[in-house]
Amino acid sequence: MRVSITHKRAFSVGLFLLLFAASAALMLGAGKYRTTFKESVSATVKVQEVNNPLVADLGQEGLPKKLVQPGRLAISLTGYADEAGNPLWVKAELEGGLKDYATLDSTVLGFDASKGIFAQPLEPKKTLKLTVNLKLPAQRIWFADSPSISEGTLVFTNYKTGGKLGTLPIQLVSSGKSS
Amino acid sequence: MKQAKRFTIQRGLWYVGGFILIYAPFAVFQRALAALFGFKPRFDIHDICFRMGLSYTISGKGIALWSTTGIAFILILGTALLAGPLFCGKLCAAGGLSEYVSKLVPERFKINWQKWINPVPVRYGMMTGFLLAPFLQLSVICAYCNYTDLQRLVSAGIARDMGIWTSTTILTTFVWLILLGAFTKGGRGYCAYLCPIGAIQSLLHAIGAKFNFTYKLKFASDKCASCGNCAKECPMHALRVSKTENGKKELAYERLVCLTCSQCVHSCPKSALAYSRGIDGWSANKDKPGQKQDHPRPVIAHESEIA
Repeated sequence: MRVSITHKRAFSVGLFLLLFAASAALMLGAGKYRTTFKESVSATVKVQEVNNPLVADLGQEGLPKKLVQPGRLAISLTGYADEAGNPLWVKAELEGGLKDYATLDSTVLGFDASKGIFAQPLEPKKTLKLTVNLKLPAQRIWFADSPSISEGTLVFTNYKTGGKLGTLPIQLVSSGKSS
Repeated sequence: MKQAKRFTIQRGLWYVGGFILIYAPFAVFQRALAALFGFKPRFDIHDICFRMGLSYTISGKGIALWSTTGIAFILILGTALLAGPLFCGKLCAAGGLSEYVSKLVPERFKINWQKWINPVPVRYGMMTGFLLAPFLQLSVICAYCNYTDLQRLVSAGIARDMGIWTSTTILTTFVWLILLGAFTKGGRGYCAYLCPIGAIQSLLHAIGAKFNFTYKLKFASDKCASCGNCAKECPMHALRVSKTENGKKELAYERLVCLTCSQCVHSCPKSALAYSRGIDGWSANKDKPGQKQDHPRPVIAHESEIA
């Protein structure tokens, strides 16, 4: 009887330790899983220049996101002005195929999302925050027959003078698709 | 049972209060501290994130104690030591939501995870992993946070747009609200197995409960009729009616899982359970003549047997 109780207790303790270790490993594994995909895109752009194309790869998203929200993506941009010059009255506008699926947003006070206009001027050496929210239909992603999903160009203009400032080409791809 | 039902509603109102207290758009607690002490406000759950506080404290990054986060952190740990995990039991809207959502699902569709998997090693294993993660350059704080998910759900409701969710957010919401919530008996699987804040509070409560001046769940074994009402009502399955080897029924209590929500107290027809100060009485239960003491986890009686 005594032996049986000792064995039972040893089994309980062993099971306890096993569950404990497995759970700790599971939590660390969850942390590791978090690093295996990329679901947010951010970049720094020069408002007054023609920037290099920004490539957003939907193929690097995790499986849950691919299944539930395949066409949703936020591209966070930090735009900065040249070190010298006049304040810029910035208007941001998307052109090209992405235009139909994108909305612009900003945390900057006084930003008019419908027109893409910043109410306050962008001073030299200062930055502005702009988010391009993409909402593509799932079919465009799931049934795409080539890696290139869509593309467009973000155009910055000075709305006081009407002059063009700079551009940022945006390419939306899905690296998992065969061309 | 009427009293238990009434208390369930009352508890639900507490969780609504907890929501108003710390979640946007209300965030009354954060606003009050900002008004009183001039703290820099953010006015959502992240302002007082206990998980960030815990992780930063352990990893050496530290938190500013004279801040909304610091005050909330001290309050939650202090109350846990002196009165149990009251935040979980009375105010945590995220835990409350999954519990109350599960009440909408018929019992036959729910899984009793605790019957198969002891939550204590899992809960503390998860907490250990959570605390070790920053040392390995891994981030689990916000990625698997149900507080954040609730805030997101509320924001989505207000904006009428789900916004952009990450894979980990989607996974966490599924696990917290669906798998371990709606389809789990008691609806608190996330709390029982995954929440590091609940775990640390219960640990502090287990230490605090050793002192007479602290509040705890007390048991008067001489009054207990072993009816099992308390065990059935406990959303965390911290109470269980078990059968000892000589066939007697006894009430087993796992403080390391208890929320101190007091649902059991209000479901006991014999007033054998109470939440107050003094000696807890659970050891007296073990010492009852004719009952064996050397079984770490007794054989659990099925609900049908209890009935």
